Amino acid sequence: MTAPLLELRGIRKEFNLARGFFASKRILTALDGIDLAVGQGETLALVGESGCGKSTLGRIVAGLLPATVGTILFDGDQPGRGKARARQIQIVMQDPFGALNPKMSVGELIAEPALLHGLATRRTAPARVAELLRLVGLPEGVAQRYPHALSGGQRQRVAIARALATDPKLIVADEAVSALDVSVQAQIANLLKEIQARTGVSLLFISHGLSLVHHISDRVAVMYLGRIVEEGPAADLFARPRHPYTRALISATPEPVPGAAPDRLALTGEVPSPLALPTGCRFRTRCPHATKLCAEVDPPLTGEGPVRVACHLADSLPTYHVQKPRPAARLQSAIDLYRAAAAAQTAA
Amino acid sequence: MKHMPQDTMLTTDITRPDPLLVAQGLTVTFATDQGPLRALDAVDLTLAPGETLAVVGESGSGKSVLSLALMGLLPGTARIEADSLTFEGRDLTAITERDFRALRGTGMSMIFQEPATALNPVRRIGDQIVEAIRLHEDIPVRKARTRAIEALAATGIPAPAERAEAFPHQLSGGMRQRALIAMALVHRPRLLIADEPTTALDVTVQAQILDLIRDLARETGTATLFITHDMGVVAEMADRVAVLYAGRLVETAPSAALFSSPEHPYTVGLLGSMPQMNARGEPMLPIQGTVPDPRVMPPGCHFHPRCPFAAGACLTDRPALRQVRPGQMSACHNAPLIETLGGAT
Amino acid sequence: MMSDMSMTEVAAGSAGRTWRRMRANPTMLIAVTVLLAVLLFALIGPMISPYDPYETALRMRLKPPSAAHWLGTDSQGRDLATRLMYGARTTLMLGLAGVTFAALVGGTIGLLAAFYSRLDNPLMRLVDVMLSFPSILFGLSLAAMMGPGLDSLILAIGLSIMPGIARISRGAALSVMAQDYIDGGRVIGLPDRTLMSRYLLANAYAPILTYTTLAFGDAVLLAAALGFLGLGLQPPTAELGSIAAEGRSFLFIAPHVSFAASALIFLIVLPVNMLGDALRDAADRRAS
Repeated sequence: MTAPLLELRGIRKEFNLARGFFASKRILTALDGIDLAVGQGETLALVGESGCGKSTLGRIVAGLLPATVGTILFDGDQPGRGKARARQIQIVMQDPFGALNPKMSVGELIAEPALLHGLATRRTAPARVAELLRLVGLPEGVAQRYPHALSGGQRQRVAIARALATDPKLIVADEAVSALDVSVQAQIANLLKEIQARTGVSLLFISHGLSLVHHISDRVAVMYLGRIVEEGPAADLFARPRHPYTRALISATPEPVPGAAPDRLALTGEVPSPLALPTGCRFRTRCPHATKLCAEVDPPLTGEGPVRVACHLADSLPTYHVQKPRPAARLQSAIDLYRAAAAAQTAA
Repeated sequence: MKHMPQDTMLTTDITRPDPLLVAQGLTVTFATDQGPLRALDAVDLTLAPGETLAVVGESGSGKSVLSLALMGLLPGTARIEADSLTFEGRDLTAITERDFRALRGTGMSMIFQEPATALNPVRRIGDQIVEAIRLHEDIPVRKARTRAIEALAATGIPAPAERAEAFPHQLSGGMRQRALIAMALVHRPRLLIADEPTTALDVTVQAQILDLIRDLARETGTATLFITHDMGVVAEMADRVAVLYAGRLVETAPSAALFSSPEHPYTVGLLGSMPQMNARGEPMLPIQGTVPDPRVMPPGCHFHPRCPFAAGACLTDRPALRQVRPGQMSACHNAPLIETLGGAT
Repeated sequence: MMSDMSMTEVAAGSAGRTWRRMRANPTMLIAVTVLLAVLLFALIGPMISPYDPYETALRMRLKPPSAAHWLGTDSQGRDLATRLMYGARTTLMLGLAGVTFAALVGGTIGLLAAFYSRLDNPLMRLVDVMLSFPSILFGLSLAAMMGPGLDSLILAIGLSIMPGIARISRGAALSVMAQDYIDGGRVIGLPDRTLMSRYLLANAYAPILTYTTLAFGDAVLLAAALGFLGLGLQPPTAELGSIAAEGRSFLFIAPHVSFAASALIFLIVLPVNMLGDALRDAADRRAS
């Protein structure tokens, strides 16, 4: 890998939950010691369950939150602030209903960043808007409409067009497809990859859905309670997950094949409160393999190969081969038929 | 439940003389400012005792309206019409509100996507379950309390006696869903309607709750109507599947048949758009377009504007739900798909 | 400008909807009719009345209503109807000026407090302190402190109703601040002033406006109360509160003076409050 586009070193984020003048401090540590890099044109996925800190990390990268401790490097340099950061990094948020100013038309929404950064003039703005709309697969007429008149998928396309308007090098997609209908999720995921192929933009793809992450990302970082527990190329990580938490996540994801479920690595209990973190390894309270060592020493994220893992037992646990059930032959041919017909229709 | 009922109304009547729930031509219309809005359009469903039927659909498919209609919980602006709508042989369209109330809780019961909204935020969990018990059973509070704690224990809540003293906001989402399940099953209803019960939960907690619902339903012999948009959850839970699109039933089949040989293009699209069904790095197969606005439903087949196979009759004639193979019905002019379309391309 | 055009479009759309709702609501219709009648009375009245509001005619003192003087005359023999026209104009003007001042200051404070969380505590504590005085008392002491005069009167009225507007504005602005699109604006690099106008104010103004309508009623009432207590504009300026106060001395001989002035105050404040309530209901319904 060449020099990374984005590099995070030792990022820590604390929130003070105390309210008012006299309340004593209550510190919630949302992120702790995050080291991560995103390469040029790469898709890095952050996965994990609610409360793991993945969205907080995305907002720190986008400049919406300051990190309490740690260094962020963009292109080997400190990232810009305000307008300068906007040219480098953009974010597409989860809620397609809340992410667009309802008082502005689609055309205004997309023209706004271009005008602000001098990438278009009043005269050239309509052409730029039309170009961006085409890029995200929306008809030009949408420019005159308001967000409330659009479907969730269309709004998310508008949000993507707006993010592209500043020509960023990195787009943070924070659960950008999670709120959409299943049939529309694939459209938006395809669109992001298509734009990446065309513009070379890097993607930080934040998601709780493992199967989608497996499909579209180059590398994956699995997060648990403010830490990265395993990180590496998606293909390796999904074929032979090493951290017990990654294994549990993969095995808990329902597969669309009846009868495939039963022998899953069930986790007991739930994520502990980030206000009362366990000693040692944060995952040990739910880990089926936890030992005395795990309760005493916090395992660092290490590894010689492409995969880094934060588990004392990573080398001693038996290899876990993920076997994805194959779809039935007849289903596969039905899907192939569908794909061919859809392709023929698009071509026509 | 390993026994697969023979699906269609006619055959079900022969093999199983007393289905638990029968809906024929179930239509729900809402009066709105912009005129009537048909949320469900002539839906036929049967559910055998102890069976798990998954109802799959996206937003606007009418799946939540269906569950509320069966529970008699639709608002006054809704009009329900049906050729037949019976639960254990009783006509639900003719039943009084008082009888319906008695039926809810004892005969049928429901759990929701967001358990926080289904629980009273200012009352302790235990008290709410006690109240639910005593609503239908005349037993002393102390006895009801013991029952409530047993019910919580059965859902795998650790330290149930202590959790019974907690208020809903003191529990995590997964624990709240367990408490709601405990409350829903306390009278051992014959039917449990589960409306997206795991959508708001994390995947590892979802796995626990799915296991719990499956185990409890099996134990108590409760039939489950499981409403979801997630085909993975369907594969895991369902004996039989009904696919809803834009208010209409487009396919029903035993789970094994649906996943091995779907016979409606929408079902194929739903399965095909799952990342698992696509090769890594390749573009995923999307369903083009979006769900139609219920006020301007397309003519003919509701799915035709998004269907890659749509042609001729699809644009003008509503396809009837017809049997493609035993137990499997599809509302598509082109079913069986591979036989009809395979040669053409 | 593009955004200006769209704003009016949106406003026109919601105005049309509001009008349709209003027609369906008889209280609203009554309130609007009464308010329009009072406005005509106060604005057109002075132009067509044959009498001078200041010229005294001692022979004509405290005459009951007659054909020449529809509402009779006051203690100086001036035509009461004409006095009330001028008085209503003054009182309405005072209320309007006061409420405008309050909306500008209170709205700004509320938006700033919501936008900059650093300012939230200091600004809102200040507002709380002001809010803890009853507004009549607050207006009274201000007017007493600064002495009579138009400026001090408007300031007194404005400052006493400002805290309420500031609170409402902060609440409305905070709920907008919680929306993703604020961050969406930040992330494209918009400066704070654009965020506050095009994003925050554009989405938060409706409840502020509704509350301001209600506050206009309070402002009118406060203006009249100050006038009644002699802290308003000094005689012979016609003002509804001071007319009612003048009439008080002759309440048993000529009750019509006080009664007519009080009734007019009532006819302004009540429909304004009804209107405000209806606007709020309409907004609530739209939200749900």
